[in-house]
Amino acid sequence: MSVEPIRTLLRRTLRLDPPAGMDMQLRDHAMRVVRGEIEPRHRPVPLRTVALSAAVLALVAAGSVKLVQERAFHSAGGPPGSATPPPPGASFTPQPVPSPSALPSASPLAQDCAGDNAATEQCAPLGLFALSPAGVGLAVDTIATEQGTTTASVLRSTSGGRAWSVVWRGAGVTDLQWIDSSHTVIVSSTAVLESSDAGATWHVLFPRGLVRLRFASPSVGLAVSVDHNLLRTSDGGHSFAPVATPLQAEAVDVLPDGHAWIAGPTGIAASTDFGRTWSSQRVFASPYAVADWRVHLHFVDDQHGAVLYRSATTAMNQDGVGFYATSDGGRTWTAEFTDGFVPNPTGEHGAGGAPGFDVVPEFAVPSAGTVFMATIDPVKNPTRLFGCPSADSGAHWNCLTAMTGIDALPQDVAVVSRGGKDWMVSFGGGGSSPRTMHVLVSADGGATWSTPYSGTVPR
Amino acid sequence: MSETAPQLSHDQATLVERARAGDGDAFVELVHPLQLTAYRWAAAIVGDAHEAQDAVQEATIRAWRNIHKLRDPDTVGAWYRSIVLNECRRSRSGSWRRMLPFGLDRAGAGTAHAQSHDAFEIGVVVRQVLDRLSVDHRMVLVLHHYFDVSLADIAEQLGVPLGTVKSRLSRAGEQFTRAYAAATKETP
Repeated sequence: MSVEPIRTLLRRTLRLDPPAGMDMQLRDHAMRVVRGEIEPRHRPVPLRTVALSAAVLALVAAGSVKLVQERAFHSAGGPPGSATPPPPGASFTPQPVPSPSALPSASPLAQDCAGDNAATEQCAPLGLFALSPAGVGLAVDTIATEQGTTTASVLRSTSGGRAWSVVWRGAGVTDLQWIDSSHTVIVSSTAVLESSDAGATWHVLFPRGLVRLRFASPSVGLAVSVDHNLLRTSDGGHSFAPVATPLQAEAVDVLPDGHAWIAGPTGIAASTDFGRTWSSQRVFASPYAVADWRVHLHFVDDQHGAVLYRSATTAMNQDGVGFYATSDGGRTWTAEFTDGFVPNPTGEHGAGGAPGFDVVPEFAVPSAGTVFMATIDPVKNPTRLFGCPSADSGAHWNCLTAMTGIDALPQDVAVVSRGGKDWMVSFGGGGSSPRTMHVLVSADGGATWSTPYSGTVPR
Repeated sequence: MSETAPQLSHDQATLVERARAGDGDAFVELVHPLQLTAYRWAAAIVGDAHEAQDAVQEATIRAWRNIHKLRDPDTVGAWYRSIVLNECRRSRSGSWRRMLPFGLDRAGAGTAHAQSHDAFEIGVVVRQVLDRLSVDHRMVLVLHHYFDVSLADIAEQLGVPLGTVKSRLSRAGEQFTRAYAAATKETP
């Protein structure tokens, strides 16, 4: 059957005329909306998690719940999932304890991304990039499959980004970190993987999926579970235990000195003891919707950091970004923009010809007080990648075109600033055409760019 | 948005400005003319009159809350429909099982495509076949083939690369064709 019969069939059989009165019903509804009489049906916080947490609190109070820690099979010598008791002397803030669902559940072969899960972070395509202290690059291209799952290719370069080879393939990857010049960790929706040879080979560190994982040292790290709870490891990621936090965690960062921050839909919280105890720093008047947002959180030292909220979906103009910066360790957070647009009065234009961009993929904090952001405007400039340096913690930006002719979505771009150089890695294409990858580096704050790699994603 | 690019009147640009400034009457005046088209899109995708109405209404709430982000009056129609599409993806039904708005064009019976079926049977088969497609595939198929939306516009409204839209359309067409052929074979 060619195209025409499908078209003919649909047009002969689909009758989409609205029922009588629909026009006025919709108008009346709209009028009630603007009068503030109707609230959205979709709530930002998953009720399931809240209900379970409450139920578990009651059980904890009754002393009937024991925290179970999972040990990875490669190091424990036991089968996957064999439980070991918490180490003696382990101290956790006793309440409120996150629900058992905070502990990663048994790992499926692939994340189920159908239906309600489709817009969640684990199910969204994503590009990641990180540089080791020795300059080895790891980049991850996570794409959505036609089967409704995600699949990732981890690529490695030891040539300053000029040549890349695939070192791992598997379920979608949501975080990536170098712990030192030889140890590195990737977080997938089914397992945490570790490499001790600078990313050349990988093995399972923890056999369950997580969303984020940041190490302060080779032993101590903080993770965000698939159920948005904070977990803590003190044995290098072999086991995790829930940590009580004042707000839901979507992103986490922890410094070697023990300063840590989490950011979630309702606000930002901080810790000074490697994530054992937390206090709120900023609470938002209206929360960001969980399912639709990816949160980025980076600190360069214990004073200077920033948080970025951006929509996980990029359909035109629907959701924008919110960006908050601090230069006093988070005692005060300045909302540099929250209306969904990056102000860009001096540079090129984004959506609608207005000075600004409505979608920002990622940012880096090159040094105290500076920010480097990458952006694509999927509406007006879908083929341009912009680099946006700010010398004043995000109060002013100067976005300039770094590359044209790309076919990337905002979430497929990753940014790293290191040693006076800003890096952007973008993935794009797909569908019936091959995936493309562009690696850009600037040594002059984004004024000029070189492209060590620009081509198809190595297979 | 080529398929419905209205000539933007000075009044409409003013309406956008007023709505962005919080004028609810201006918002209603701006959005209401877009709602029936949005309803038809939603009905084709979610396959249920009530779900379609829900999707349009939820989108209207979302549009009102985000109207300040609409910087370009030229794109108001596409912007609104894009929000509706997102609501369709969230729709719980996502299936055609409770499809109400389908009538069947009995006048079309007896054409080349209906030699062994009357129009009612064809309609039932088409409905079942669409039911088997994922919402993403169904969306691309009906937007392109039924509403004549260009692939580039679909890509922009869904926020996915053009290549993905092409790939989805191709797969959706294959799946539809295969399932339709199988179904019509079974019901001679």
